[in-house]
Amino acid sequence: MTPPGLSLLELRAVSHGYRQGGLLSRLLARPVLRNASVRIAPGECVALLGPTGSGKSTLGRLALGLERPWGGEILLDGVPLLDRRGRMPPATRRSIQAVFQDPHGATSPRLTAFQVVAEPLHVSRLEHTPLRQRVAALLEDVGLPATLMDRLAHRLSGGQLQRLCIARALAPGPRLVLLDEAVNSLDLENQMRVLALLRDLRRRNHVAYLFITHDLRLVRGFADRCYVMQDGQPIEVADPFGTGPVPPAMAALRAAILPARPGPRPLRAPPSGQWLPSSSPSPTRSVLAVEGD
Amino acid sequence: MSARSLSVGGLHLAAEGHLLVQGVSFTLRRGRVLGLVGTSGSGKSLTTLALLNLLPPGVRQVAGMVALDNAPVERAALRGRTVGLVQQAPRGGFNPLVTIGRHFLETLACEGVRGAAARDRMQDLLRDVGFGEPGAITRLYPSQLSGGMLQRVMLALALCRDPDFLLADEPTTDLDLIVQAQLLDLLERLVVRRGLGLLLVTHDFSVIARLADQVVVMDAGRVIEQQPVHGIFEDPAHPRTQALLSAHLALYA
Repeated sequence: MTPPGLSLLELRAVSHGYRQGGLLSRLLARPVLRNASVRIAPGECVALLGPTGSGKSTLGRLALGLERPWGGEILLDGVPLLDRRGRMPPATRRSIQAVFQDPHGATSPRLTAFQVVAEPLHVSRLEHTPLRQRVAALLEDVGLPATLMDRLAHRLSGGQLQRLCIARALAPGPRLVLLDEAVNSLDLENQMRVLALLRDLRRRNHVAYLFITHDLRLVRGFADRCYVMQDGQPIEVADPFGTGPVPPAMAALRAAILPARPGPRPLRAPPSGQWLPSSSPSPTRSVLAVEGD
Repeated sequence: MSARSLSVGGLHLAAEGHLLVQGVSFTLRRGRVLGLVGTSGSGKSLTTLALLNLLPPGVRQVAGMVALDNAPVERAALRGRTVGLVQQAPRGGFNPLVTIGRHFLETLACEGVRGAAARDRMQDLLRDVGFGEPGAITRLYPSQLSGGMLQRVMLALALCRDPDFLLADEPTTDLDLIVQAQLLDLLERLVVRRGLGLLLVTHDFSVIARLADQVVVMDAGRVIEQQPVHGIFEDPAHPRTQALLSAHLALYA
């Protein structure tokens, strides 16, 4: 299934974990990733599925070079991501960007929308006017009007702020964007809009995505390939929606999808009627007209 | 004698001269699940907070009342014992300086439950919300838990005092689907067995489909539609409801 040719990012037999415990208690090493291998080709969208605590965000942090793995290799274009002293060349840092789940946590409340997006562009040493033009173009790419530029970032709605984070991630011209639960905090309509936007941006900018999520429904029509975390190891699943055998972790994720429509509510009948209103009128349908001001 | 219904009528909330919530009315009954659904910014959370008089600074209630069994009540007195609350962003609800266990022991002490009984109850509640090894959690500080874990701890804390009603504001939004399914199963058990009256605030129609009996749809601070859950899915009347529903169904296409 893995496409032939050189991969953009490759994790080879990576292991990693954390030390857990309080100040005064024993530190315990807890392995999170064991012998994990993932390949992402240029321009490819790879989904990484798994429940909370399965190590998918840890894998993302390693791919960003935020942490050094305990063992194994992480290669960008076949070259190690970090040098021996744990440093990353600036060009590499620019080529891998990220969008996280909580846009409020990922932006400073003191910055304006312009400042948020302009920050990664400072290295380009643009003058004021071209910089504003560049930011305006990036905002337009993610469907935000340039008039929002001078508003404080936290005055934007959640969906707008997440678009701003996407604009910031795209600003340095990355080749890989890590989307760590990037649409999960948005409401349904915004989820669909942001996914459509990401799909479109990928086509235009030839950027690859590592799409980390626990919601299998979001993967359909979005990702080219799909891994699921099983016992600290990403396992590639050829057809996540097919009828063939899937790893137990994938079966669990499938089973957890809630119904699209309400089923019968047989259990909701009152056992004794004690705590239900004695004469509960059958709820009638009422559509409230929008009142005038 | 515990209450049977909690209702809000004609609720109007304002900030800086703007009306944020206009004329919201609904009734929560014991043993039933009322779904409150709408996009972000539609006023769902403010409405929920107003039920317990917990509005953020700057937001005023300009009209409306809250009634328990049709009798107006002092809303602050409802907190904890009669009405539990689970908020969307759980981190602010914890004291960062004390362990999770202390949070439980303090809350249980309000009920007069102490010592070994309190520890047993704490373990049971934590097991109910999906922690396989509750002992390990109780020693940790809030900063050592993920958002999803804190959300579940918050629910367990809200259930400590065995409230008649629970206001759950996006209780599963930050959780993965597996934990979400467990938590909704737990809420259903509480509703069915103990007759908890649940206000389920969410933007997610799949959560509504799973649990709600009656659904109130809010948009831009107003209630635009109120129907039994099957009606919402089969015959949504308001164009906004139809749009939200089609976004939801597109996920299952």
